[in-house]
Amino acid sequence: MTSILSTADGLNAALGLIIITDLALLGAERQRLSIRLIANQGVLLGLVPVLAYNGTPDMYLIAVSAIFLIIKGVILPLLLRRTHRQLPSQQLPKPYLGYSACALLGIIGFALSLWIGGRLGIAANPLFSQVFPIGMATIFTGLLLIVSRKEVLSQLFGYLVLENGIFLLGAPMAEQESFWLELSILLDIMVAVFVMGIAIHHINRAFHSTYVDHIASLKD
Amino acid sequence: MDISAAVILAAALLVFAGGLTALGFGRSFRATLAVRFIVPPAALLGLAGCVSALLLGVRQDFALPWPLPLGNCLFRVDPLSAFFLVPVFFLSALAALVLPERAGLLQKQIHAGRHCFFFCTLASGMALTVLAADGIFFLLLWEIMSLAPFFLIAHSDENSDGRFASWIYLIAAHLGALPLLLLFSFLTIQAGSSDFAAYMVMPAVRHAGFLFILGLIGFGAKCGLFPLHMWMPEAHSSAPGHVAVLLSGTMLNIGLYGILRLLSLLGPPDIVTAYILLAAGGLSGIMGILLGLGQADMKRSLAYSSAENMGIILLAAGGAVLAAHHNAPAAMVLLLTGLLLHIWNHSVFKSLLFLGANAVKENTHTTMLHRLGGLGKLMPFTGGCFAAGSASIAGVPPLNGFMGELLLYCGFALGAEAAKGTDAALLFWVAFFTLGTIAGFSLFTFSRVYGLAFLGAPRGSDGSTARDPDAFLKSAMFVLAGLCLGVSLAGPLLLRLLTPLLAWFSELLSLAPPAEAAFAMPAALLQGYAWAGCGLFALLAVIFLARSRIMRGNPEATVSDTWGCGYTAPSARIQYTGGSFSFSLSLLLRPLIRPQMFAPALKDIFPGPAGASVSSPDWPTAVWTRLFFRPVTVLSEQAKNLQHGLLNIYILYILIALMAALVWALGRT
Repeated sequence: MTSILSTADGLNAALGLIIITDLALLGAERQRLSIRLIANQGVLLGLVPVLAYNGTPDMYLIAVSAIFLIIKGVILPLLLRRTHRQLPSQQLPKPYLGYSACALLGIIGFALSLWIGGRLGIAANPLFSQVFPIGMATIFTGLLLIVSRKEVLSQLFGYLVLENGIFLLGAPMAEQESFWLELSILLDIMVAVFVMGIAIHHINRAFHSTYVDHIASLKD
Repeated sequence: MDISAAVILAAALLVFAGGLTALGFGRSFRATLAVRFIVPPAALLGLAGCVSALLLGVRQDFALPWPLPLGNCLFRVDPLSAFFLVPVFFLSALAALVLPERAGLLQKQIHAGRHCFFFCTLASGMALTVLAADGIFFLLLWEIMSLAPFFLIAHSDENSDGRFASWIYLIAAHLGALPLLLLFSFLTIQAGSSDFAAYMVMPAVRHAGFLFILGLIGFGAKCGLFPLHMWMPEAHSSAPGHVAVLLSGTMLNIGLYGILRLLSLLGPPDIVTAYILLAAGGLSGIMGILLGLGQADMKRSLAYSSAENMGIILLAAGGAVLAAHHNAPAAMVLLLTGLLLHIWNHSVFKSLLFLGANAVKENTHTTMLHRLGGLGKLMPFTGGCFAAGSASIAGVPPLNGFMGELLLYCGFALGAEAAKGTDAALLFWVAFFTLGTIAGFSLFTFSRVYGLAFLGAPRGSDGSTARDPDAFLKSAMFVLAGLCLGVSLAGPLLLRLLTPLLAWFSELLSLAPPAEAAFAMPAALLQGYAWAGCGLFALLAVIFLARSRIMRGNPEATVSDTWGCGYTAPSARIQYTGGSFSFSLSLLLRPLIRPQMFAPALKDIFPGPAGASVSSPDWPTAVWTRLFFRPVTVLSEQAKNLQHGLLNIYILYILIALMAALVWALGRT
């Protein structure tokens, strides 16, 4: 199975799917759908290092990828779902930017990433040139999600997607065992997610909703 | 290594150590006593070092092994710095001597340890700034020196006037530091090193004129040149007496030091520099005293007169540069001697006047002239000292104020003579008459301030219980008043002290060492002035003795109201007020002073009670506010909108900045 998927086609398919999940996330209105999309993206990301590896992956790579896959594809989405369920059911506020407009901007972001990738020239690692536009587009997607959404949980999705983008940029270096760096970034984000979880709890308690606009009322 | 230079540096550091010691005492009154016991001996030590360094023309470097990210920790004692250190050390000692009682009166309002710490920081900061010989290091010390008064001006946080004065001061200090930052950056880039010596050996400084103007603005803001003087009336009138002494008597001088040092760094100044100095000096001199003559607050009048005196000094500097260009070494040396003597003299009489005003304030709780009067009888000692200071600052011979001015008059006249037939002769005469005009207005201003506060009868209840201050303040005033009288007799000695500095500076301006003959003129003038002074003092003493003899034997002599003018029942209400005294002159010079007058229209035959007032607001500040401060405020208010508390928008800023940086970086390659 590995031999079939480890072809360039497999990698391209995964990357294509990631872009699609990005755009879907930008256009997704319901939070449960977003969580599912994030889970899908997490699984795809877990596969990318293995697919990108030139040759038969060793046990080490498979183990680390599996850890990533489980954290990104299973644990984090489960945590998000739990948080989502605990929050009082509320009408989601209209985002600053409409869902379709966001998706459109996501496409522009992808185009920009392709341009940037072209400008960067040929990387020493050919895989990098292949993965770079997708990673960059995913980072833009994450930032766009954070900027456009008004609800805290939706912004949290943005942080996760942002981290996914950073992970993707590092994936081609899997051979150089730079996973530890990735792992540390992932841990940072995990901590951020926990902090955000606490913040969500407190915002909810103080304002009886989780709209970030309310925080603005705390300024001078 | 020369011992006097080491002593100077050690004294400056000791003064700072005094501040640290005081800080250790916290709020306790003992903090102020620590300053009284540590600072004066240290400062007097430094003073002795300065006198010796001046006499011997010492030039000595001290490099401390303290690594700075830029520049070097380098001190240099030379005649110019030693000259400016004399008032710094002398007045620090006097101010520290009178500090405990002043702080005691404000005890509830100030944190004694903190106050003393910043007091010592200011004193030692000034000394070290003058000693710094590295552009970057100089700026660092300049900033420390500039920050300290912010904590000293407002003695209590509750007093809104004091807070306002502190803020105005802080803003002015920072705006003034900005051009200096540019100036030293330019110089350092050109010279490839931030050492003053490296600036001086540059063959030709590029854009020297522009750099000089930058320096004039930056240093001019510190010495309160018109129209950069806005902070001065506020700060000097709010600060307690011992702080006002340091601010007006020494800190203004540091600004002058900067200008003179810059003249020495930029190489021989060109003729345009002379024009700029003459224009800036004349403007500041005339406008400073004109704004001061109508002030209702005596401390504000004193502050404006500082702008005037700084103007006189710059006028003299401009004259000296002009004389150097017209090959008139005698005039140049005369002007330089007058300039240097006037700097010292100004420190002496201005400190004396501020201490006197402070004594008035402590006793009557006001310095508003329309509420004072008759203090000469209630506080005879203060009144006498204030009279000496007023006469001196107004340029009344035989006191020290006129000593410097006499040399300047002669210098301008001599310059005009040497430059006969050229346009410069006209300029010299303009400077001559400008100086005369300034002196005339100054006489008017100080007869007004002294007369209204100390002569006549008390107005209202404010002054009726006033009495002379404590022994320390009295002795400080006595020393300063004694100097006002004594310095004028010691002119030849002072000239000897200043000769190495004069020779060095003259050589800088004219590229050739001045001939011995050039010094003959000031020597003769100062000697003549000293003899004339002796004669006048003797005459005054004879008259005074004769008068007291006649009065003692005369049973018909009675004490009556001043300015009774033959009225049957004179009262204090018929006395001149500040407004009425300066009314005619304010009216005459309306376009320059822009007084605000209010006179009620009297309609009926028996009009009811009405009030008239004349005030002299600081119109340049209003202009600055309209042109600069208000637009900046509006802009700052609008910038607040960027800070709105929405997380999304903050991240959007980051996104935009990142994208822009990325596109810019990649688009360039």
